[in-house]
Amino acid sequence: MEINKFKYYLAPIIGLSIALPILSLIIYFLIEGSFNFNFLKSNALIEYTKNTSLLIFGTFTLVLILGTITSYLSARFEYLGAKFFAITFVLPLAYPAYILGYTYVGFFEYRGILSDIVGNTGVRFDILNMYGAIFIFAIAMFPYVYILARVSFGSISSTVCELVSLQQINPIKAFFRVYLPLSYPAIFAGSILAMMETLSDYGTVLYFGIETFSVGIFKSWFGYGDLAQAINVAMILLVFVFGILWTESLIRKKYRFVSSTHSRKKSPKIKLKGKYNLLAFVISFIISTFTLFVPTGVLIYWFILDINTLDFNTFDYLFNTLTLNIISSIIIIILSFIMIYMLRFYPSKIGNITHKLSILGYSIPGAVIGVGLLILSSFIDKSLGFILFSGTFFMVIFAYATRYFASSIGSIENGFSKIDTSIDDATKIFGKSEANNIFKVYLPLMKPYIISGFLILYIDIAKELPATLILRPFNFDTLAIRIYELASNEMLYKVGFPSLVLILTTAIAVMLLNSRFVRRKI
Amino acid sequence: MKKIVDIKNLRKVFCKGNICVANDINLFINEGEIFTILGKSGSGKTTFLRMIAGLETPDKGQIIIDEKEVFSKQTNLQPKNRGVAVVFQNYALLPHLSIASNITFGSDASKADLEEVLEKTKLKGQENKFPHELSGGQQQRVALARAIITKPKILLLDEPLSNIDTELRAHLRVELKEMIKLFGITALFITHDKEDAFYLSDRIAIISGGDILQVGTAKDIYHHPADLYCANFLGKMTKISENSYIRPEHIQICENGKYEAIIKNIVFYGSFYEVLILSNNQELLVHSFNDNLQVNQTIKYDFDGEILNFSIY
Repeated sequence: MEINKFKYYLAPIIGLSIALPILSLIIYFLIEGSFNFNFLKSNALIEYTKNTSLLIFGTFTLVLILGTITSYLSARFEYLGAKFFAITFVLPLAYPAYILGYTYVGFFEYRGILSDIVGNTGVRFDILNMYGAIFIFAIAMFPYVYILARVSFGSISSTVCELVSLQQINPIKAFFRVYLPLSYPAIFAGSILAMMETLSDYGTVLYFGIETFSVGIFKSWFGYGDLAQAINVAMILLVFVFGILWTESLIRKKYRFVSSTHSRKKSPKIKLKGKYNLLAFVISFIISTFTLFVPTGVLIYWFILDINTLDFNTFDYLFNTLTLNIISSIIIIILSFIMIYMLRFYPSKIGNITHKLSILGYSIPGAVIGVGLLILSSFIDKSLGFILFSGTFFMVIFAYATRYFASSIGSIENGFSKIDTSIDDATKIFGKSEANNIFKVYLPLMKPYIISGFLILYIDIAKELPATLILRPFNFDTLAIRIYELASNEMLYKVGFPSLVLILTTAIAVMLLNSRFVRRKI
Repeated sequence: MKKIVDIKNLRKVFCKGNICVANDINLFINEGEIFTILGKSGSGKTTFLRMIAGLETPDKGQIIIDEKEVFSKQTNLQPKNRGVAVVFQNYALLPHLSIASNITFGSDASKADLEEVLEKTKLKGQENKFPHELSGGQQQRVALARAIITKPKILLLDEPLSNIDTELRAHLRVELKEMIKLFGITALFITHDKEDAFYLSDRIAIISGGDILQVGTAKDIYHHPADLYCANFLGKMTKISENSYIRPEHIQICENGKYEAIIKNIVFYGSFYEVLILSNNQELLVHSFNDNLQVNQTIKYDFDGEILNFSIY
């Protein structure tokens, strides 16, 4: 009986623990910190607000356009190279935005790769500005829109497509009046995800000299040692985040009808011929050139330049990255599985509330979570009188769990939703032990979803920079940290080798995930 | 005859919407009998089955299975201790397990038991396959075998024939009855389909709004329905006077009939015609096999005497 009671509390305990860094930040702010209203009028805040707004609005617009074009082409048409481009459109997901940023700076800078290609050292473009940053975020984040919208465009009911062709609606009108509105929820969901990731970024904006909230948090704390100021910036950033989430919920409500027009019976792709075939190819090629070929080419070029002086410590960083990443991903997946399993079999109101709290992290920048965790750990360490958590792997893994719990829980929930409740009833009738049911029934049934959750976590964690930077144990460097340090020291060509190693691992994960996407149409 | 299931004053109200799904139900099921609960969706039939299985807790009442009290004010046995087995609507087979593993999943059956069940359910040779490799009929047999191998006191079947197309359904119905009778098991079958109920059942209970309206054999309840609801649910009929109704098959169109009528409409149903006739300003439905009937044709007809009378509406 006692054990059964405990099972009802397990999901709330996990949910609350995951949300603890965010909650502790808010609690600390309410109890200890007083909001500095003078800060509201400060030039720094105006600058952070202006820059962050411009950056996320610009990124939102550009990813929306890029994501819509690529997903529509990929989902609705057969054309020259379509299968190849279906992969190249998703691969930028393997690239952290800051690496893309470094490559483009290296490409366009004075005596950069472009000037080498054209043979004129004077040719250069200054992209270290707001527009350059927007461009970098757009090419890094558009796959979020592409992946979601491709599924949405692809699953529009064949009857809707037949209606369009029977009514002889011209293709442009059909796109804007029928197909695009039906995919708005997916397009907006992807664009908002891109906005969240942009808000969370630290490496790229720092390198591009854009003073956003994330930069503000780092600057306040690590630059001026002002925790109160850092918390103030973090709280304003949270207001921003909640504003975006509120907008998203409004959009979702408005387009609730859309799901009724999607079905499993998909309409066949349209085979493009002649000039339309060529046009689709050219558009896809240009997009892939900017989003994938140029950055990859630059990294390979740097790698070749550096080939005689390669830093083989890179493999140590790779080992660190893989170890930390795999351990974190496994822990997060196990926690997600336990939480969703417990919510299914031992539901409670408090469980549902903590479930919602636990997924908040996806919208909270890594720097904010880092600050929250530092407050929490210093409180615990002070109370204990000795250092237990600060500067340990536990802190980094905790930060990843808070930040990316939503990704893994999404996969696990999706998997459990596909298991019919009659299976639950059958296990009750057979009366085998709970452990037997978990290991013999639920884990095998959930295997694909656990793998996809693991892959998503792997990609996210491998690219993560701000929380790792704040919380990592002393002298522990991952590939992401190493790349960031090299770029900070203006050793751009040295970035090539570790970046290619990092991207190779994430690209494998992206490819595996992509193949599952196509097969199961999540 | 021994009662395998005995249910007394079983009551269940769902708090959400205050819906009564079992209103003081009293029922018994005899040993070896196939007993059917027949009702429309939302009538409470699935909840009734789930309460017997122990998957849903009643508010009050008593459930006895094979002389053992499994639910009462003091007792509430776990599903595994009730001696029940369930064949679910979608069979609930585990896709990652072979047929043999699926069948033995819920039991500690010996190899000999498995062999016997495989033989009797005509699944011999399929034991190493996986559920997705089998046809719908074979999957149903696996679900049945998995239930039977546990040697339950009562087999509960939760609409196993719904969501199956008509042709296969008729075939599976025959097979299901054969299997249950072959194993000599007592079964409780839940359905909304009267044809399934008529074919499979020794006795039928009609349920609506959590009330058992009538219990009897198929012939009993069809020819002597307890009330207008039961009569309407089991087949079409037309009103001939204040409290009297007649089913279409009890009116015959014949040359030497006593009464005269005009044909208003004819619907072809393949094996028969459903004809709407007007006689003395009274519309009547008639079943006929005559291919030569025409709308507006004047015909003669007669009753065969079976009229349904209800005093309560």
